[in-house]
Amino acid sequence: MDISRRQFLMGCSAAIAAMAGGRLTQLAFADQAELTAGTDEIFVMVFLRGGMDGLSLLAPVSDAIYQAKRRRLVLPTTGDFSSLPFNPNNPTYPGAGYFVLNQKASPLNELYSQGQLAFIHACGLDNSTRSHFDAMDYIERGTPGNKLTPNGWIARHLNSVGANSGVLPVLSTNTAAPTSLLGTSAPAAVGSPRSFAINGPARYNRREPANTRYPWADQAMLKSLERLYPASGKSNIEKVGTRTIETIKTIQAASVGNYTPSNGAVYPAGSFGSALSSIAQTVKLELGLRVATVDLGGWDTHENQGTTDAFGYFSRKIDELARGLHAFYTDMLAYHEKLTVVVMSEFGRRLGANASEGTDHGHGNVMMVLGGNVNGGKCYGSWPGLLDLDQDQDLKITTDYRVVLSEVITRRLGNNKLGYIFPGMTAANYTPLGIVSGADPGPIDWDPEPDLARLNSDQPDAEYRLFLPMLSNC
Amino acid sequence: MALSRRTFLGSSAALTVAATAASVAHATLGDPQPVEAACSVFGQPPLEAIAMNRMAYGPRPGDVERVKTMGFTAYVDEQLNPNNIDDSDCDRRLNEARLRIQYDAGTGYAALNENRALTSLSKTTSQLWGLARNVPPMPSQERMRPQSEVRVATWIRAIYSKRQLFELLTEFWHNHFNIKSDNNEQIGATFPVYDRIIRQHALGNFRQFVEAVGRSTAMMYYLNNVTNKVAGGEGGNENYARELFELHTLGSDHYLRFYDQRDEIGVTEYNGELFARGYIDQDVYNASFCFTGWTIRNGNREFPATADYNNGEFFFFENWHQGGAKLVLARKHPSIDFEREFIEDRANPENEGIKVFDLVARHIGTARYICGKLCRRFIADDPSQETIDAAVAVWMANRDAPDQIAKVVRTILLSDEFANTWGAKIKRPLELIWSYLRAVEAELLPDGTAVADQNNDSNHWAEIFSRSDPGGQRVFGWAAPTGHPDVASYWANTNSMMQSWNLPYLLTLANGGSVQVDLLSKTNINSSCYEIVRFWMNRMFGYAISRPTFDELVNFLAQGNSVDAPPQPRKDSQGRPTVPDGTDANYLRDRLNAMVQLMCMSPDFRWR
Repeated sequence: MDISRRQFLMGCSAAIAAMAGGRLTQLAFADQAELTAGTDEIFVMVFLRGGMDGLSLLAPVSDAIYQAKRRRLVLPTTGDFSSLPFNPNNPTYPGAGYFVLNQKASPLNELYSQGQLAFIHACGLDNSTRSHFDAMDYIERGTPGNKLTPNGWIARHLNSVGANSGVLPVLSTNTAAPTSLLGTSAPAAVGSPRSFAINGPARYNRREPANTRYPWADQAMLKSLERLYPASGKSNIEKVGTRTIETIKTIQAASVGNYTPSNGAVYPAGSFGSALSSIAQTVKLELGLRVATVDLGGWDTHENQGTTDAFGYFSRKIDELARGLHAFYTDMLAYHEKLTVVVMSEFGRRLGANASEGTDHGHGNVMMVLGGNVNGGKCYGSWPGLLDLDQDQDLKITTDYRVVLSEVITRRLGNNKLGYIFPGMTAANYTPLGIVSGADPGPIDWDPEPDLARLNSDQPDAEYRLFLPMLSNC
Repeated sequence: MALSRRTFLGSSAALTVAATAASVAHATLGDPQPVEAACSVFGQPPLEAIAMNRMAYGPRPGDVERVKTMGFTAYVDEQLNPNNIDDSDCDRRLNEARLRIQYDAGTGYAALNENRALTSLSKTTSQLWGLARNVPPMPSQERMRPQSEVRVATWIRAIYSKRQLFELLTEFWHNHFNIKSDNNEQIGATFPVYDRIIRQHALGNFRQFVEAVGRSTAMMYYLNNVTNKVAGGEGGNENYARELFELHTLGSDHYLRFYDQRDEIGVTEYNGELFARGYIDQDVYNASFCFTGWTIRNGNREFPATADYNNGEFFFFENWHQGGAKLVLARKHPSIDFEREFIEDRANPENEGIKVFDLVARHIGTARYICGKLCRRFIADDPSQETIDAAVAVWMANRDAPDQIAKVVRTILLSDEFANTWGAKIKRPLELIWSYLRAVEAELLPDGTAVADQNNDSNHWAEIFSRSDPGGQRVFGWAAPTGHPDVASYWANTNSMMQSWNLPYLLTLANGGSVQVDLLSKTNINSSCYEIVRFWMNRMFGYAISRPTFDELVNFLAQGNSVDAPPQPRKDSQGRPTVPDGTDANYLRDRLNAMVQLMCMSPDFRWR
């Protein structure tokens, strides 16, 4: 049961109940009708912002066109920074020796060889935009070519399985929630769980339970704040305020303290490592976390990309990414059976290097899927080669990113409403690749507007455009 | 599909914010009773309060009354001429500001720990370029120091400057032409110069503005045009050219992606003038060719090996320029000689880049995109097309005027929509804390100024930044070239909310406070709880807030005692003072601080 509904139903005063009128009935109804669609699996979306150069992560190193076009950016195959041998294990790909994996991706190579990690090359957003911000909008809203879709694809997934229940179902580890979560009341953007609390003058902020030394520890400020943000509030600020208070109380009740990762996992220093460690900590609190998002930026390598030695810029970025994912996966050992991590970027980079020892915006890219139910150790999709290029300049896309996500959504997250989550996608352009194990939860529902009324009764206005508070039943 | 704000307002009489609606309770300072919110949205504040909340970072004591007295139009015109406003108090604070710099000894330099004045703000590029070059050798604290000083100056001006509209516009343009100031040493060292460019043009002419930004050392390094040079077959470096179109001028709504034939793009007409309907990737590539050779005197080994080729200033290096004719925003139309659309200037190839600036700055798409952003900044997340169109007309008619931007901003501020819109924007995290600090007359201390708490090492500015950055809005700290988002859907999130709730306490009270605020001395603590809350409501908001919020604050201040009496200690069942207050005199200070913090935490304080 959703903590906010419970609090609302149990705690609301007669006055609020009277004012809320019909809405109370509606809430109660929604409560009874709450679904248990979907699974309790954990989905982690890692977004590499800026256009990660997949051709320098999983590089077609023996291709003469790659050699000629990438010039001084070609990954080394000899010496101290020699790249790692890589076998796609897929007959539709060129065989062993054609690709190499960046040496700094060694922790990923370990997961790949253990069958936990899969690559999908020549994958991405099937739209010709070379704009970072349009591409991210299209991808995260789940509607290629349309950046006006009012909500994000992860939000639609959550809405369509009623997965806003649970105490803390969604966690964004950034300072704000990403576009993919736009349009759901559930996301909690939490930099670090352990510091998510109210700070104020101790005399009126001291926390329960009271004891003999602090008999007044009644959190007077928090209680006042709860009345300033009643559950009946309808403006986005009031809703987010209510959600913030719930999150503060949840974390307080869970006695979140300092965190020691399991299994000797060591996260890399920096915001990416600490974000992943926050997710692991939150999962282990068993608060019903279903979706977490984390960003790693800094991939817009137009200049001095640094792919050919261990200290180059790109090498260090891959190092941070690979060690972070490896540490997270090690830390999450006990949860592997219900964990799926997807890693993607808004587009790949131009095949030809530019005059600044960098690469400009391109098209096809590498996507990664990691988890205990991933049929890893293999590359999926098909390799289009470098002779036939998109716009005569960039790697083509042979796999739509939505196909990869759809497989995870259906077979791991147990949601069949693909038509709603990715409007415009149809049975004709969805062929599962077998990246994850598991069965579809019944036939795929391609209806872009399924009947979600029961599920959405507790959702805020799809577009947060009305900020002033109002009561709906005057 | 969701309702837009306007369509919703248009269909629901009960929710209209039009000043004439019967359901709206008007609140003025002469009638400071909190609004009875029986069955309506709260009252729309008077125009002078709207002005202080949307064309300033919130009211300081007396501001709302001053605007009311002088009249709104006169206030707008005063603010549009910032050089005529006496800002000596703010200038004095800038002079007295101290920002600590501290480092250990290293190769070529000694250890240092001093509270230094903001000495870089007026320095020139060549004066600052040694920091970028690391000559003489110095630690990164010195090399990145200038951009830190601009951050400090920006905070001081936001809170104390009387040129509030100018400060808002400076912030707007810094986000429009966004640069992350600590991106690298070349940017960090020369950032004061970049800030002066923004300030010079913030109310000026956009055509001059966009070129000045394009030539700046900081933008050259941020978007890599510094290394954009002719390359066999592949592009030079298209980063700057792409963001020039997408973010600085036409905006991505005018991005048409790939076209094989220019004939198919089409033209747009505005007042008889023809423009390419939008830009395509070929425009980006060709513009980047026009800008090949636009670079910085940074001692590149391909440049002449003399000192004046390593002073950080702009120069055009013809050896790097890509020859040949280029098409940028070309128009195919029967009335246009297409041959004249080609850009090529063999005699003076630097002019090719200048021609690109002419094309993008004069384009109707640029007017629409930037006027839309300005309306979003000053009026609503979702401003009306009518107001945008009015601003566009002024923009287009004044493309050669030295005060083009001032005229456009004036049109927006004097529009009916500005006066009749409230609550269609929220305060972003810095707007929230700045409005609090303004309302309570906070004192920002120079580093090194001791405060009472022994745990406070008087490193005040470092403390201010480290406590405010986690809210997500950081002065010059947005990494992507988009600048900070300007819509509530981004900022209304749990993290930003929690951080904003805590910041008044963390800045002013934790460890003795990095910012000094003394609420008790400003309060007639012998007046009733009701009157005290009313006093602070008028200070913090400049208008009457909702009754539920007001009542909650009064009840909090009373802590179970009479709201019509001054604050009393909490009482036990026998009426004796009890914990946590007892007879400790400090309870009054703590209670008042907590109440004003709650006022700042309330939903009401978020609306603009």
